[in-house]
Amino acid sequence: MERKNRYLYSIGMHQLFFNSASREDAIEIVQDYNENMAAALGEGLSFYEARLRLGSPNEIMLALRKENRFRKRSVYLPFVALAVVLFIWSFLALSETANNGVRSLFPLGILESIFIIISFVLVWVALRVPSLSMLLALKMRDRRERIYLLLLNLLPLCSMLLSYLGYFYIITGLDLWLLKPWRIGPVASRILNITLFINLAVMVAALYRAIRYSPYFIAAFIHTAGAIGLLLSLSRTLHTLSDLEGLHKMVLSSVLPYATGLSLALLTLILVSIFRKKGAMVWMPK
Amino acid sequence: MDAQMKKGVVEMCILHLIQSEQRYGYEIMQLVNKAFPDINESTIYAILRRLNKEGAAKVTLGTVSGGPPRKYYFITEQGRETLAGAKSNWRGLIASVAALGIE
Repeated sequence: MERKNRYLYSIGMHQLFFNSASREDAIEIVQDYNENMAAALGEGLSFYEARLRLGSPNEIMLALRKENRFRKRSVYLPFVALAVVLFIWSFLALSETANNGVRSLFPLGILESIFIIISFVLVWVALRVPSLSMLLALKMRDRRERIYLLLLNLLPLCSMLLSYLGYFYIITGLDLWLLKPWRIGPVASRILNITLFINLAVMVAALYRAIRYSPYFIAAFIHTAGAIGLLLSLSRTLHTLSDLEGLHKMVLSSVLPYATGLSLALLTLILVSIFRKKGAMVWMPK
Repeated sequence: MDAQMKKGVVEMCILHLIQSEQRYGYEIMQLVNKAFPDINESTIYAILRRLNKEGAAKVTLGTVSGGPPRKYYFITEQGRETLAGAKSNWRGLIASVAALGIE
């Protein structure tokens, strides 16, 4: 039973994550495969034989995607987003502009601009999934679980909102001429790189878990991405506005916001892990 | 057989199968797979789903004791027209090939 549910769940996840079906269609496809699986098992086949006959979640996704040309194009979007993230990391690690504190041509820095774009792309890809899991969250045992699930869904959304508020605040609330990016020393920049890289690692891990296990990990992934966007902006702003010259102060202003972001992301992951173990997050068709 | 051509033929076969009687998804997948073993069930399911979306086939729910409700597919008027067109093309193709002496 559990293997069957996992199989059906994986079919739904593949459809949604690779955008080969709409939310309603994904529900229908899972229900169809629930029926097909029941019919195959009713014939006396073992679970593995039935799975082999019906196809893997990936094969099913590919077959359905071929029938939908519009959705076919957007399938690579998550990978494009990841490629952009990797590009940013390489930019941070290799660029002289980032490491030597040379004044950037972009008033708020190229990174913040790119992160805003990435955030939009990621939100577009991932918002579908938490809302689906809200619809399909398996039989709630009591009201408290329902509230917790709602909170876990709202958490990444709030994080994103906070990110955008952060961007808005930075863009509108500051006199751009007061920003002095050239004051960011090479050491602080490197620390910023390292902390950013850790955040990215958490994000990629969350993404992997999202694909492998539960849509709620996509929420965590988005949460982390949002936190990075916000904290990157705030961290750079802290550097430039505080006019700190002492190394330890610069290090503190670099590490603290990132440590906070990392803790938030990890907390989300832990919360999700706990609830997943309880079985509250695994859904299956009726 | 060319993949695109095979897809068209499979589509015709599915419509033919649901023309005479209502059949459920797994049954159709099994029957088509017997005739075309190299086409996997997920592809057949995808075609079946498209036919349903395009209005060539429709679905009605049936109950099964001890299992999830079954979706029974049946052909629509539009589907009958598509099937008639596909059969005519198929016969034309066979006749053209036979005229060249290929059996």
